[in-house]
Amino acid sequence: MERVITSKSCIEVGELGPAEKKLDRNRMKFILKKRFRHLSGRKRLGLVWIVLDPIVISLVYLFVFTVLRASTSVQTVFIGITLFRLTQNSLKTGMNSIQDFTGGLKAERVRTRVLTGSMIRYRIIDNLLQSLGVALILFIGYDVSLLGTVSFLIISQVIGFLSEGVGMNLAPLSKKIPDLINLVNYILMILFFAAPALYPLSSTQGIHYKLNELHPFTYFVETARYLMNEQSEILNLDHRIFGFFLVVLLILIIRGYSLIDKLRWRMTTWS
Amino acid sequence: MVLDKSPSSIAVSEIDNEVENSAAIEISDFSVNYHIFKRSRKKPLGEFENFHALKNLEISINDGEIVALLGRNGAGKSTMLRCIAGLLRPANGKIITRGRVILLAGADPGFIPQLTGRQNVSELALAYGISKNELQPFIKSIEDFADIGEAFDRNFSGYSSGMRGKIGFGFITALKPDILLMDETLGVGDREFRKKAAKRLKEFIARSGTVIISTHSLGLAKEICSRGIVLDKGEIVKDSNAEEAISHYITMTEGS
Repeated sequence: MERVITSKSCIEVGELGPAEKKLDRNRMKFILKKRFRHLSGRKRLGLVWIVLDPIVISLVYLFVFTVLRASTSVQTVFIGITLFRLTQNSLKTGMNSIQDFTGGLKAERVRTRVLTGSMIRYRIIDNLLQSLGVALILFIGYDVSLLGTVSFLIISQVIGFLSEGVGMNLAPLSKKIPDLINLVNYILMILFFAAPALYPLSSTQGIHYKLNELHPFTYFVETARYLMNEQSEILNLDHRIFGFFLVVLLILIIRGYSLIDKLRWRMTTWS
Repeated sequence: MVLDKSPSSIAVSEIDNEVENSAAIEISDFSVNYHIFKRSRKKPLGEFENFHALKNLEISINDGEIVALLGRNGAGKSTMLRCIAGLLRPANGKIITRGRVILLAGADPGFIPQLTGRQNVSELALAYGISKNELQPFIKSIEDFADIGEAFDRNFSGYSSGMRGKIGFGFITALKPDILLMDETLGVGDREFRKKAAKRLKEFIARSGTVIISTHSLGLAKEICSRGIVLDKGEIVKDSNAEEAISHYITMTEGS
């Protein structure tokens, strides 16, 4: 088989013989298998997720188009989306926290306190960066009070840490069953539309309202809206439920950080 | 550093007793299991299987000893070195190390692709304990050793594997460990560089306290090691002076 390589092309001259055709078929099989193996990874349901995915996404959008109501104020949307994105990103950071425990230093063991300290600092800075832009827009452009703006930044820090704590507690399970990551992504996707992120809680009714009362994100976002003089249902919500969620989430964040040393060690021999 | 099932559970009285001992590394009843995910037709959802990488090791290495770690591929040499470095968890047993432990495995101490070679060396130097006073001479020494010219100030992501290896090797061999663990690291760079690297490596070894070298190079092992440990299928099959260990390893591999 003659190959002609020029600056314009690399082509083979003449017809393929049976041996070459067989080689090509084998290579195609290899590449195809490799791509599907990469997709299924270690997920327990493997390639079944490819079938489930369009079904779940369709259900999510079905909910969006049948339930989502009319437009709301710019401030309401800014507050809701910012806090939701923070929740989402922090949760995923927490779930990914056990992927690499070297801290990037491969030649020497890094003490756990170094890792813990850097995680906490990262969370503070990340929370601030994610919320600062919106806080400034609302303060300068929409006459939100200084108290309201500062409260928003504080709530962002709190929700960021607490979400990361949830993620950190899910992390060991997601290492053993990576399918959990798909599940969490779907839940977050549904929550983005179902939770009062794009609209205030007062826009919901019936079972939608009731379900949001049982969701910790609702309390944080409605509190932020209240403090920024936006439409809010926080005074009508049951604060005992909020208190309960707060305690549970605090326990989870404390547990998450205290387990880093143990988890870090345990995960070194899992592949 | 005491490595037990839970690394943070340190018995103070045990440490006090052990400090009096001169051994730099003590390994007792040490085993390592990997948990590997496997999927098969019979088990389509997959499961984790245990693989016994190291079994019931008992070794004591004194301060200043230079030990060759020999064995076939897959014998458990890298696993053992990573355990001593505190990077892998045992299934049971204990390792005690005394002093700063550096693992030279490959030539990447943690480079960041977005930075230049110089920036990488500078940032990593501080992370690996080089003081600000020593920083500039440290960077210069690595720049001179790697000898990649103006590429030292280009983005690391654009380097060839040889260039990365030169900087990485130069970096790690400029550190000052008490215990040095080496895992087959002389394959980088061109022939001229490898000669330079061999010389630097010997100087590095001479500067370090205790050294364990995992190597397939029997010449190197004979030249610089006083003791040899041979591993086979996760177990120690020979622990003696370097010559005897090398002979045993040759006999063992000649049969296969």
